[in-house]
Amino acid sequence: MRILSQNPVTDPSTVLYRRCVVDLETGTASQEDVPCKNLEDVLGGFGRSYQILAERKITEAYCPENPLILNIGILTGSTVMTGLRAYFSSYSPLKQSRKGLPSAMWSAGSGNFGNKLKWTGLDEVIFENRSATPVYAVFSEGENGPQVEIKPAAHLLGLTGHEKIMTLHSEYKDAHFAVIGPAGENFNNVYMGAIVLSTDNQLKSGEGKSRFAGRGGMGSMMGYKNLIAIVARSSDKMGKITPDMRDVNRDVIKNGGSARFQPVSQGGHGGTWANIDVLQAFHAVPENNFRPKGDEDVAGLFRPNVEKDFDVHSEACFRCGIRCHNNLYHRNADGSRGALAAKFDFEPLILFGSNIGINDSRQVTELIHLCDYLGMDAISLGTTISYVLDYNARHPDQPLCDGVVFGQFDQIRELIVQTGRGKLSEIGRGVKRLSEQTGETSYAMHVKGLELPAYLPETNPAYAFAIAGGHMSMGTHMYLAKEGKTGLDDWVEVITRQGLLQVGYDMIGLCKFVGVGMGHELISRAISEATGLNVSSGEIVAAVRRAYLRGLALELRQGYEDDEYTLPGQVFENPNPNVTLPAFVTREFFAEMKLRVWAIFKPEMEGLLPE
Amino acid sequence: MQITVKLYGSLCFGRFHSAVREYPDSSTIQTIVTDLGIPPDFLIRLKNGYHVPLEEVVENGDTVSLLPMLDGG
Repeated sequence: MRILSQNPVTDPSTVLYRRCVVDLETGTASQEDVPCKNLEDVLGGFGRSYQILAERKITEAYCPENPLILNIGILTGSTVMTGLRAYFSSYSPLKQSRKGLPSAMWSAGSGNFGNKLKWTGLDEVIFENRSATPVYAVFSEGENGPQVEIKPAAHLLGLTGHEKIMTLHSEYKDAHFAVIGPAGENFNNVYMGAIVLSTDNQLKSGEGKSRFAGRGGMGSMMGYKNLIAIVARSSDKMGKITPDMRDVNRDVIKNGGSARFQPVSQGGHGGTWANIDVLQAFHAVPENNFRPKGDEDVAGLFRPNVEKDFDVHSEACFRCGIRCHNNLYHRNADGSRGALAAKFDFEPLILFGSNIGINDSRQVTELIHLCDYLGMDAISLGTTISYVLDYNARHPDQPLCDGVVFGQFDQIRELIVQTGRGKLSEIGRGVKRLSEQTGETSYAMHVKGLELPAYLPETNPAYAFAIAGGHMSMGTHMYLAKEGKTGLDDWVEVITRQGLLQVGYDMIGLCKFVGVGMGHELISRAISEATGLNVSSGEIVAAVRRAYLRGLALELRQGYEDDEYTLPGQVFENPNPNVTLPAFVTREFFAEMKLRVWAIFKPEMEGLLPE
Repeated sequence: MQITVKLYGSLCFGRFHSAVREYPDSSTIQTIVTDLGIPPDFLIRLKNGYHVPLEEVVENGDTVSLLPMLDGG
């Protein structure tokens, strides 16, 4: 990125980012410096990629004209703590309107890949068309700028994501990697393929400690393009940390927002895993396809119980002091730490645990690990499997997938293997399509075709306005549990003011676990220190808001109709009496909430898309 | 007066899960939080199952639940 002035708001064109366009059909590449059009371009991530996507009229995801855009945020590769993010954007094979048009999506991932890409000198790569044969792309720093090579990748086919990374690492010692697993290779039957990103810890230890850009099937898009892996090679160019930047990073660690995710031993709450304790207090932990039973079965997944079976160790992303990872290791016979079992985050823990009727942490870790290795989105896979199990409980005489039911570990494990290897399209194509085939949609846990994360829909009516995944693009998933608010005014306010700003982290390159709002002075300070650009908190908030609304406008352009902005029918038709949080999401509440939200949003959406 | 205090998640560590404790009249949630040495920010506070602010006054026989306020996924 070249920065020629300090004010990107009044003169964004004085900030130029380096774009590489790779034509996978011809194997050729071109590069240019692109002047930014607005502050969203400057901040990066989906704020920029969605403007590119908006220029294309795409009617099916798997077509050569649908680009896969890889980019970073303005703080990726900087000395700001958590500045690691890489973003992948495209029209999604998974998220689709009822009219059959694919929705724009992005997915974010950490690891050290984003940094390495930036250090090659590139800010953005647009992959056009598709290769006739499997290839991988290598981006390297060169004396005269970034270099691009397209190489055969047949030797990588069939390997897990972790195996691909370690194979490439043996050849490229100075690189980091973005790869697909077998799921992405089988894109025709798996729309929920993830992109697997390497970490320093993984390359050093040889253990499968990858990070994932999971949502929306971006790994399946890579598979469609026959792009099996992306290699970013460069020397490490982390700048010298200034005293002011040290202050910024100290504040990232000390602010209460990130402290919540830090290890218990450091006075934190122990990462997202601890959500299970909080939500269980309200009997709001998803069980048996988002239907809590009002019992204590999930206690087997509480940290003290898991620690009986595993050595739990807090670890971190590259140079991050938040240390939110809870990695579970087997114990050797002598009590010492053995091999990695899995990383316990709230989503996979629940969606491969209590939500499919499994509360034995040893079994849950195996399923998480399997999903990761095969390269699928844990949320989409777990939620689609729970639908199958629920369907089978309701239809024991005409079941799906050989009649697997809740709690059957071995059979569920086989479902995951078959799905990841492309042999079970019923699951691999997601819950929306499957439920439309069965005709039973009310307990299919998705909104707008994207499977729900592990927070109950009856506690979050704002799911309808999430543009790229229920909890990562609308920060309201814990609002009811945290605040207890059930008023219409409260929900309209939280959706239209704070909730949508969640997406700002997917522009600037930082992790959401920094834990402050986009309007916090910490964000503008970080940008100023890292780049020299002067951007006020108000200007950042305005840019994030425009980017979000552009995403919403793109959904409408791709054919979404008003009645698709809804929740699974079960929420309205059959409220769960076991949940002790207030049951307030009636059809009437929801309809009024939507009217008021659209009344605020729609006037602001005017003019955000190209003619 | 006697208040039943329930703690969840990491707040239990080194403390307790549930205990009946004595507090003076006109005590608030803040009184209990301070007494237990729990940082008051990023805390979910319930009185008899309902969300309340730190300034909420508690009465004899109330149950106060304190939970860590988390996020993310």
